[in-house]
Amino acid sequence: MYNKGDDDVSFGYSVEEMNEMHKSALQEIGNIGMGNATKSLTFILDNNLKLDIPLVQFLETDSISEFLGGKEEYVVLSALSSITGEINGTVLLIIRKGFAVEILQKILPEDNPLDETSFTEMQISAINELCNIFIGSYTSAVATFLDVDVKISLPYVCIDMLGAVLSSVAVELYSYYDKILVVNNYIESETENAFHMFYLPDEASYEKIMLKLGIQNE
Amino acid sequence: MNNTITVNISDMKVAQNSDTLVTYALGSCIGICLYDQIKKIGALGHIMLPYAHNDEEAKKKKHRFADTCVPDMINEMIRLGCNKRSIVAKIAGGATMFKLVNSRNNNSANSDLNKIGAQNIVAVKEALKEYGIILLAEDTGSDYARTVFFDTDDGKITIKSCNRQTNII
Repeated sequence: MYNKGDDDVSFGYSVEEMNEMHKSALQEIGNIGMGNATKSLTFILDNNLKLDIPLVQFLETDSISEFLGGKEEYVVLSALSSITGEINGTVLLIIRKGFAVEILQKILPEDNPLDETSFTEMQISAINELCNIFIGSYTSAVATFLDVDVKISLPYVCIDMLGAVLSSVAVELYSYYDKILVVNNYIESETENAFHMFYLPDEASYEKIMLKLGIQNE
Repeated sequence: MNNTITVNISDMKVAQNSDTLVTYALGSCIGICLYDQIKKIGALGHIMLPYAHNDEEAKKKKHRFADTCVPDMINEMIRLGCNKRSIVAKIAGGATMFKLVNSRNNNSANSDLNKIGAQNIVAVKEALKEYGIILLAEDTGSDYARTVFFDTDDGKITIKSCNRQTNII
């Protein structure tokens, strides 16, 4: 259906034009993934995490600044894993630095006071493990729901400005595409720290997903 | 006078009158700064990728690619009265942002994920050379994001990064 090199590369329509059932299906996938993944986090953080309904969005690679609404320089900890197998895509976990600090205070309490300017190797290692578990829980729940076999790569990690993280992902993994489909899960903790879980299925997988769920295009 | 003008991704702007051009959070992307020190006119282009794939891209998204952005920047500056021979360049960006943690065999540099930054640096330098623009300074590569401020009053570039001292080139 979509070929690289076409004028209208990937998802030639906007979210408004997207089939409602497809959009709901993607939201459901986001819910299922997050539901499973946050179980472990709630236990660790011992507070209530507020899950919003996932947003289905198209990220235009040239409009990342707009997408981020002035937050390009926010420092975030990001973990990225590739999903390969019956469906392919990328999972990108983006954690505000404040939230990462909160998590570290719970899992490595003896490290107080935490140096808020940079993390130690031990701290990065601990958060990396957590991200690994979180991404793994998310993906396995989604894979089970869709009844597909997938592998998850070890996460690549980056602690830096949000704009640079997103633009680098777009450029390194999606340079052929004008628009990237994002299932955007947003979580807020009690202290109003937040993180995003982006699930980015590629178009071939998008079609496969809809096929698996028995939702075809008209 | 002394205004700050923002340049977004895949965008390019020209400035004068001691205005400052700024582009935020360069990762693998590169901020190309061209300056005519006599006319005190500067152009900042924020490119994402090294080469345009076809004529269509070259026309519609010329500021996204190093090979099409550089000549366009030069043309714009000439249009405003610059002499090409007075134009010099400074560049920043082209980082490899992502790392594998806890990996004994850290092949991050060779992974699929970290190619474009380095390619961008090569492509920008190639383009500058092709059009005869001298590269005066650079803050490129490594693994950190950069925000670039380009002062058209004196052509100085100020680079801000997390956990690092501000660098002025």
